[in-house]
Amino acid sequence: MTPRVDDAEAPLPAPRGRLFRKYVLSFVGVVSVVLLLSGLFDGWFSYRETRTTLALVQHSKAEGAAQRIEQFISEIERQIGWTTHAQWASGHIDQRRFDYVRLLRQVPAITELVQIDGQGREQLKVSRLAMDVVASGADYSADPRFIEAMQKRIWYSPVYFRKESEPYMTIAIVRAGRQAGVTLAEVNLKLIWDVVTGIRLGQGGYAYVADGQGRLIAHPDISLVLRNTDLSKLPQVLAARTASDLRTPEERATIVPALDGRSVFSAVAAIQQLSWYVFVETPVNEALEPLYDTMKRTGLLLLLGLLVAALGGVLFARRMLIPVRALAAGAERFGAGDLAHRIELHTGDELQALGDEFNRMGERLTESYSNLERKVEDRTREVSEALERQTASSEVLNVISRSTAQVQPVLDAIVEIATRLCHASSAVVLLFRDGAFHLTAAHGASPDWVEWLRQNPIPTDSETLSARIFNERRPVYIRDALDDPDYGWKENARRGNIRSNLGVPLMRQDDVVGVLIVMDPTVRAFTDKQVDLLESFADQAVIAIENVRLFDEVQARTGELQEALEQQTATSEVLNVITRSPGELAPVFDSILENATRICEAPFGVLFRYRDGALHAEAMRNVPPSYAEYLQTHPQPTAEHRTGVGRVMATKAPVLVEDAVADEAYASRVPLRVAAVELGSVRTFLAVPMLKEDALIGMFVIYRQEVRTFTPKQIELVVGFASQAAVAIENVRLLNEVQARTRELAHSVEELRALGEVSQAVNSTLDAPTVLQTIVAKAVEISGTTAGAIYVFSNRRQVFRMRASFGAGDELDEAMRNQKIGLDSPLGEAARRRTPLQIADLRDEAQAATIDLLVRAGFRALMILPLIGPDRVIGALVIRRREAGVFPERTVDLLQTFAAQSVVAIQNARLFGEIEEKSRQLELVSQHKSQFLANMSHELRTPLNAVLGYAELMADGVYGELGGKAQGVLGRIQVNGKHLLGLINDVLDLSKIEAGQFTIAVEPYSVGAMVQSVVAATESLASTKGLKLVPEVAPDLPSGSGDERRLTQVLLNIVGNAIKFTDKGEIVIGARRDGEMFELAVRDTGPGIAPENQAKIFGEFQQVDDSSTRKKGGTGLGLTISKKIVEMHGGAISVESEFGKGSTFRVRIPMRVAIKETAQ
Amino acid sequence: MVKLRRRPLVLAAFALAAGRESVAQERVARIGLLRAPPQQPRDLASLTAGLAELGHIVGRNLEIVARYGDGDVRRMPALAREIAALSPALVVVDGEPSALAMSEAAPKLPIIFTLVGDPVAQGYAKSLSHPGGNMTGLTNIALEITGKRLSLLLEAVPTIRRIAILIQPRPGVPLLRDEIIAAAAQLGLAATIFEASAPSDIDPVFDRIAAAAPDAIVTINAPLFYGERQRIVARANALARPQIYPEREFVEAGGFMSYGVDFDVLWRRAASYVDRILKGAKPGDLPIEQPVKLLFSVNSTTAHKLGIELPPAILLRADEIIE
Repeated sequence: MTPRVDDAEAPLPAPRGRLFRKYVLSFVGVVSVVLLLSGLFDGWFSYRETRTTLALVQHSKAEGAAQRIEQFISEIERQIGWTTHAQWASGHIDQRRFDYVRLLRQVPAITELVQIDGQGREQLKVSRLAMDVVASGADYSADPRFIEAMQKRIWYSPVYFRKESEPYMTIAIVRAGRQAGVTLAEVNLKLIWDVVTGIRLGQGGYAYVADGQGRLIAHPDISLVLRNTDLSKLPQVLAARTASDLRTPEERATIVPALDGRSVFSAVAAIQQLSWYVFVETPVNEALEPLYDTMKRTGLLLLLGLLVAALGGVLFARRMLIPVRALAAGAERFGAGDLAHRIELHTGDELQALGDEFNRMGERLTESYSNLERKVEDRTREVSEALERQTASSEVLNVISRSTAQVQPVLDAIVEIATRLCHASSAVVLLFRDGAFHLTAAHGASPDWVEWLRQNPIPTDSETLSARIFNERRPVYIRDALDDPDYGWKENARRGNIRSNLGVPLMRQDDVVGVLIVMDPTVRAFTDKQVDLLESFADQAVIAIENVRLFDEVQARTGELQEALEQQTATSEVLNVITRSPGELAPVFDSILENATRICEAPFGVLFRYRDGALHAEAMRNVPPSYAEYLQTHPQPTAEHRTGVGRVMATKAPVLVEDAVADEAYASRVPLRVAAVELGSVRTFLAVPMLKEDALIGMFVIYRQEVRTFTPKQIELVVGFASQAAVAIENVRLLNEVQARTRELAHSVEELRALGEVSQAVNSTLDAPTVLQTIVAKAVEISGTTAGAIYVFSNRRQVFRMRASFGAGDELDEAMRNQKIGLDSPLGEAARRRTPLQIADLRDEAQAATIDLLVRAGFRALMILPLIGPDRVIGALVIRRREAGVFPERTVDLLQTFAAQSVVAIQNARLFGEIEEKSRQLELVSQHKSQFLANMSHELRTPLNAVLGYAELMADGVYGELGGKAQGVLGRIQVNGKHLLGLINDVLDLSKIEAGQFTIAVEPYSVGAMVQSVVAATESLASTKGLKLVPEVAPDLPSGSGDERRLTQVLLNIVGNAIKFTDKGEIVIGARRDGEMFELAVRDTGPGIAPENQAKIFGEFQQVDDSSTRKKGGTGLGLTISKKIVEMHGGAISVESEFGKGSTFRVRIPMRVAIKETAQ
Repeated sequence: MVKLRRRPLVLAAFALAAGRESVAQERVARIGLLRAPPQQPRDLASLTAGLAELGHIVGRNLEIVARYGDGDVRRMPALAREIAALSPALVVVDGEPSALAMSEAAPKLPIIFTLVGDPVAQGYAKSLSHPGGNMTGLTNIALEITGKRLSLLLEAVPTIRRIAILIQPRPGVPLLRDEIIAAAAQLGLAATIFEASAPSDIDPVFDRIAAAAPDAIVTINAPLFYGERQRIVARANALARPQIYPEREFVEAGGFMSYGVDFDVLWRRAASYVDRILKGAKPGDLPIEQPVKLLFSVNSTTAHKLGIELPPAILLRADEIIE
């Protein structure tokens, strides 16, 4: 990796090569940055200049082109100008035409000229393409060319494209004078092409013209123009059309995409007069040619600069490197420890200064080395001292941590170390206890003296160092015990060979708990450090003492806790047993007794239950056998108050008998006590009641065979056990109760569910056989039996017959089905008694044929449930079983309920069957009726038409003249025949309606015409009765859409009825519009209709009363049919009437019926 | 030393450039030319001049295979097939007979027409601005200016009442015939149609025209008549009746008047279509051009011979007066 520096003889270490590279690179870098910047500036300005120049040139070209086009247009205007003076229009036609022809000659761009007079009429048209026209008078008065020109004097039309291809423009110029008119010139703009192609700009520059809408008018490529190219999307065109004022020349030439997608410089000039725009564009590539040259030049310059810089850099770097290397070598020698080395440099610059600096530094270093060595020695000493102390301290701490339970080793260690570190002869620790200091640890002192001191504690009021420390609570130093006036124990000091001594207090919080003293047989001083050391030893001693005290306390607490834990465990064991065995008491009692005797250190115990006025021993533990037997055979009555047990029963509080032999009960020879003492060797015992809400339910007794009382804690514990036992007893009772209730409930729910399912199944069908089958199947299922059957009772024959069977097998079913069972059977008996009847063992009744069959099929028992309806016996439900015996009461109840439900289901099914049958019959009848009516009407109509036809012919005299009488008869035949025909037609309509074959044909109609035709048809009838028929049709009724023929039929029917039932007065037929509905109202002055009849009249075959029907005739079907027709139109028919005054029938139908409807 | 080394490089570059030139020379575009009349050197000269202006020089990079029907339009299909067999890059045709024959012979070949009266009505193009198919070119708007022609004749000689109309039956003619009959009716002229299909029909037709003795003779655009213009003008002048023709070439040949497109301009413009299609443009994208200028030519000598004094308006209107 070592770079080769030119022709370097030896490879240099890497960092040195880097410097060389750095120099060269920075040199090259600076030069190239400068060159690059200058190139960029040059390029930028050159670009700006090029753009500005280009913009100016292009813009001026564009302006020039715009001017030329303007000139082109104004030349045309000027030429036309001579045909616009005032007298011209009044000149001779030949003259005018001549002038126009001359214009065409002079201006090749004009294709057509038109002279229009002041009124906008064409006077003359001269064209290159079409025939000239004189005074055609064509109307231009509404033509924009005329109108605009009249307003503006001169008007340029928007550019248009002839045959969608050639760009044209109309110039319209008003002629001078009054009523002068306009001259129109159609100008072919293709001729501008010359102007546009005339503009050349470099190699690829070109110009084109667009109109105000952005369509291309002129372009060197004429085909673009002919193609009617839309330029409005080009940005330059958009900009020209929107920006009215262009500020600087540079902005006038923008870089935009051209029509063919290339980038171009585009300049624009507007032709204000025409709102056209001339664009001059040069391809960007071409326009920026000079700029590219500049860039190339800059690139070359940059390359050259780099070369020069690299060369210069190499030379410079080599020159710089020589002194630097000398410096580096010097530094290396200094670094290697040769401080005497001196660097020789004579360059006379900063490098030489640097070399001198190195030399000075070498001198200084030599000097400072000697100082440093001394200082190091001092520090080493200090450090070793500190280390010694530290070690001592940690030694003490080690001892402390090793002996947590004892103080002595700690104190021994402390005195030993204190002696050593203070360079003293001996050291002692005295602990303060009972008002004096007792020697606890000593080191270095003579055994005699130590022994003496151990025997003689130092009181706090003596003139001793210890007392002094005790009072002053701080370290005390006695320089010479023998020479100190305040020191009282001089004798002792002498005996102990003590002159100087130093003591520090052992402080626990603010109390002095002891002293640590070091002693020396010479008179000497102790350093502050030694005092500090002693103080820290004193602190450590206190810590050790405290530790031991705390340790002892913890030990004590732990013992207590263990005891409490044991009791707690016992309690929880008992609770565990209670929860584990919720239904059983024995394990609970055993557990309680076991725990109680164990904890209370009693050899045995008994648990009594209070029952039937006495206490019974229910559980025992370790009771001596003879006493146990006694207790079991002798329940204890409550009356005895002398024994402990008796007292508990009386007071319901725990009783402790300390000595069974000592109290009255034993003295009086109460049997229980005697038994206890003599059979159980009982001396001390504790009896605790078990209470449930203050009622005694039992008792708990534990016994000791020695006189030793129970502690309150033990009593408390046994009381707790007793209450747990009570809880357990109560729990068991409640649990049993709950279980019993749950079992009952579950059973009921099961039954209800079964019943629910059954009734759902039974009621899910109305088919009678299915119902019966379901009932019997479900009955067998819910009763848990094997087979069953349903017998239905026939009232008529007075016998039961099997109708449904389940589980019996086909063979038996077949046999049973044929059995007719009379009322003297068990079935009959059950029906009579209306209660279930059981046969517990069929073999006892086997003499009856039916039962014999069953016995042979293997059945042993059955139950009959009579099915009884509200008024009669329906039958019976029988279930059978293969086992003999009575059916459980629960099954009987359940089946009874079920039988009652089944009765309802059977009846429902029967009723439904009947209804269905009836409906079927009715439907058939109705069908027959409609069919019959339709057929009959048809069959009747044909002969009747013949009858009427012949009658007509006869009346017309086709068969010869008839006599007056015959004429009269014939008239009657015709009247009655026509009535009959009407009747038949109505019936036919009605039957069609009922058969759903009646349709309406929707088409437009006029209400007025409809009313008119009805009036025309009924007028003669009305006039023969002397009635006035008044149509009242509102004017301007719109035409409606609907079935005109049918609606006419409706109106005819209503009007006909009105005439028929009205004897005098008038009938008004009104028609008006109400919103989107027509309302037709027929008002008569007839007898009116009673309110109770008003609804009926629209029913089939209904007339108001029979007498009038007879009088008036009619089928009674007309209004029914009318109602149907109106309803099929989505309308309604109604009647308002006051009896005796007349009626109004109102028909409302929508004006437009949208769809064809079929009668329902 | 450097100079010496560079020299062969320069020479090589020259050689390369020369080689490229020779390659370009070898690449010759072949185009077809199908015309119904006999060969017309002046029209051909206009076309080749137009092509040369655009860099297509016959004999260097362009070959024109030309077929002429000698006035008989029935020969066109065969000639068209001949051209198609040579598979040119495109075919330049004149009027409807050539256009129709060519498009049938080579339905996909680009066709540039020059003398079609109404390309849209003929079904050659969807519209003038966007022809859409494989045919484009120039229209002589013959249909549109038919009425104008009659009215100019009438203006020059207002006494005319009955006219003979000379027609060559061919594709496109039905439209023209309808147009001229309508225009004649509009101007109150009685028109009789005379048809000639081949050069051999010319004399008999003129015999019949002579027999009918019309006030004037109107010749409709047709390849036959254009080719036989000398004979037609001679026969018409022999009848001493004023005439009007569709092209100034008739007037040059001694005919009375003409009104129509300038063939020189027309054929030169056709060259621009050739250029663009050779450079890859699709014929369907090139709009059909209408003539910018219509030439009204009058032969004053003939007028004098016919004893007609030209009204000032006619003289004013005339673009050229030939003597």
